[in-house]
Amino acid sequence: MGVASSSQAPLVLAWTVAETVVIYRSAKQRIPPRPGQLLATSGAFVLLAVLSEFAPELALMVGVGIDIAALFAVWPGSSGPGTPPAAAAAASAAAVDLGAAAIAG
Amino acid sequence: MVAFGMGVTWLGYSICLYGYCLTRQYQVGFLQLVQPSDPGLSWPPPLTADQASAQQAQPTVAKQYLAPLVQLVSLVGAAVSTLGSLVGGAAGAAGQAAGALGGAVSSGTAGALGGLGQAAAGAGQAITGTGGGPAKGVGTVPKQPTVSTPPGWTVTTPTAPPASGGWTVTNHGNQGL
Repeated sequence: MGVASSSQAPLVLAWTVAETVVIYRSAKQRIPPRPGQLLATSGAFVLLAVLSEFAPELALMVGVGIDIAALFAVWPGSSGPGTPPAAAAAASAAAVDLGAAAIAG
Repeated sequence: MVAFGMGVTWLGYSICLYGYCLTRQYQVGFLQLVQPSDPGLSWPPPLTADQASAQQAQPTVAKQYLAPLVQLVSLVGAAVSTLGSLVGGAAGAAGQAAGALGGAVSSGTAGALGGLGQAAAGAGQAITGTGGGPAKGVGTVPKQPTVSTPPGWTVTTPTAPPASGGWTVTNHGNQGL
């Protein structure tokens, strides 16, 4: 019995990357990541794993997008446990502005 | 299957962290842990009321076992200093009895032993802090001066130093001066 099929293995890797980003940002502050921080990532990838049964490419693409969002700290729970919501919102707005400028440019 | 594994992983981690909080008696609930955003929750969470009061009431393990140890070392230091002072006093008396024969040597020995008592008292003070305070008075024996007595002279020394702290030199025969 295989743990994941070959089409789902990249998705598992993307899930691992996203969780690692969240855990690393918490561990950098010597705080264990709360399950609430991991809930958004885990929930999203659970849904993507269900989606990958029917459209694996789409699920993988969305998963990689979640990884990029976590790296830029705009994904919920990926900005660290000590980050106030206002700072996270400001970072998210700055990332959106950066993306819009890149698309326009 | 993969989705099930991801969910089980998250749930297992949540339960593990909640169990850790329970064992550390943190005042946090499972739902509070798994809430996506709870800005009021800091880490470590506050202790339960009974655990916090128990920590305030009971001394730490170090204090609990260190205080009797300090008292024991204080007592040992005081005993050593007392013994040193007694030996120093006895040696001083022996030096008096020796008189002109070995006065200088015995006085030096008495002074050395008295110094040993002082050192022991000082060690007791150094080790035990305030505990060795009384031992300093017990172990303080003044160093006896070296006296060379001319013929016809006797030197009398009190067993304990007098309040004035001096020696009495008596010329019984008025000889030699």
